[in-house]
Amino acid sequence: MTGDERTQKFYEQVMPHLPVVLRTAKFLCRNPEEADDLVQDTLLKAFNNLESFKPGTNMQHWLMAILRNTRIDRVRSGARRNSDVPLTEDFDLADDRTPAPPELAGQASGQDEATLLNALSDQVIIDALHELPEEIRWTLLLVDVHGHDLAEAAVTLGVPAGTVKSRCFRGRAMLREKLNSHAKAIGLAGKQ
Amino acid sequence: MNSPFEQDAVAMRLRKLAAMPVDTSAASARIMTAIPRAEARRSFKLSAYWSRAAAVAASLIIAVTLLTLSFWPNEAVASPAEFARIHREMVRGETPAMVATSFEQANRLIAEQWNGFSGFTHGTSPDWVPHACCLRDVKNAKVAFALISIDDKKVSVAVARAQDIRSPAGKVETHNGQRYHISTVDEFTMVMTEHDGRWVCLTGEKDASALIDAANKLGF
Repeated sequence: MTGDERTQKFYEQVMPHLPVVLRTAKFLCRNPEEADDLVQDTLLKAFNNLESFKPGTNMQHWLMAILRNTRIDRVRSGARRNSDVPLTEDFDLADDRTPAPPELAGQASGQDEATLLNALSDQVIIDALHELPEEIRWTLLLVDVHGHDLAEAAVTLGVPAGTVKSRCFRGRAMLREKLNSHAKAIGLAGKQ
Repeated sequence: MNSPFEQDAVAMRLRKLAAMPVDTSAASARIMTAIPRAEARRSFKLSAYWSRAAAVAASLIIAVTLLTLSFWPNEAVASPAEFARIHREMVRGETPAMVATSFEQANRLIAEQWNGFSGFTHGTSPDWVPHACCLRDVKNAKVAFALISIDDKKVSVAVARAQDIRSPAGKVETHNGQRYHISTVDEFTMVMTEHDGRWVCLTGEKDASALIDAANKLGF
């Protein structure tokens, strides 16, 4: 592939996915500059490794895998000086280290639940996502936000599909607990 | 929290984040600086070798080109990402749109804002009923959008004058002698084509062959 062919392919096939890559980076990083840097590093890696993309496979999944590896590299390297991820945070999170939150008393019905969650702004949801462990957050981003199936997410995350499933379950529970607390604090949900 | 309803409610709320608008202009500018487009790079390399004579010749060429362009149709390249965004906004009701209950009504509503609008359909009367329609300015080109449902999936039909907009480079399929440009952005597939001076883009969560079939039924 010549340089011009690579550039053309990049702009035709990779750049249309910029919004989804940028959106995901913003869900991962609290700091907007960190998200921008992460996106730039990710897309430059994609540009330099275009040959490794297999035609007929999903470009967005390929970019998500690069984004994830880039994020891991940045967190583990000196680039994380300005990062928002605590050193103790958990790219090697063991599934059973994060206990499921306790059952909440006075739970709403499914429809009430959806209404309550829809009343919360995107920013509130994103702030709550930022409070989740990184691996749980990644799992929810891939499966729930981007709609990857368990097998696809398992490949990107490098874990068995069963682990993805349990992380989804646990992550949604953790997220709901945080959102429920927020809703109570602002008077959207009944206080216990 | 173990109720399937509650799990589904959280998952559904998270799914909505996929449509959250993001401003890509700064990130895009950074990438374009880091990875200049081929044509920009080529002209930069050439500039290093230009002699004065070549520069004079180039100036003449530029002058002639500008003169020609001033009489040439101003054609914008359709951005798949932009059409995906507009489609998503229409589906989610996040953009001002007019309710239409037939293509005839949608054609009439758009024609009230766009004198000379040629209509969403082209000599055919497809079974689909539009839900909504709107007129948008896309890179200075007037583009009319109609939202329809095909097999329970929303599909937007965007129509513009072929002289105002053209399909981006990329994958092309030919069916019955008609060329269709195919793009994908996120979960959406886009099929674009031209016919009789009209340009159309169908966007939706359908595969390309279904959208090409729909374009055929619309007369493209």
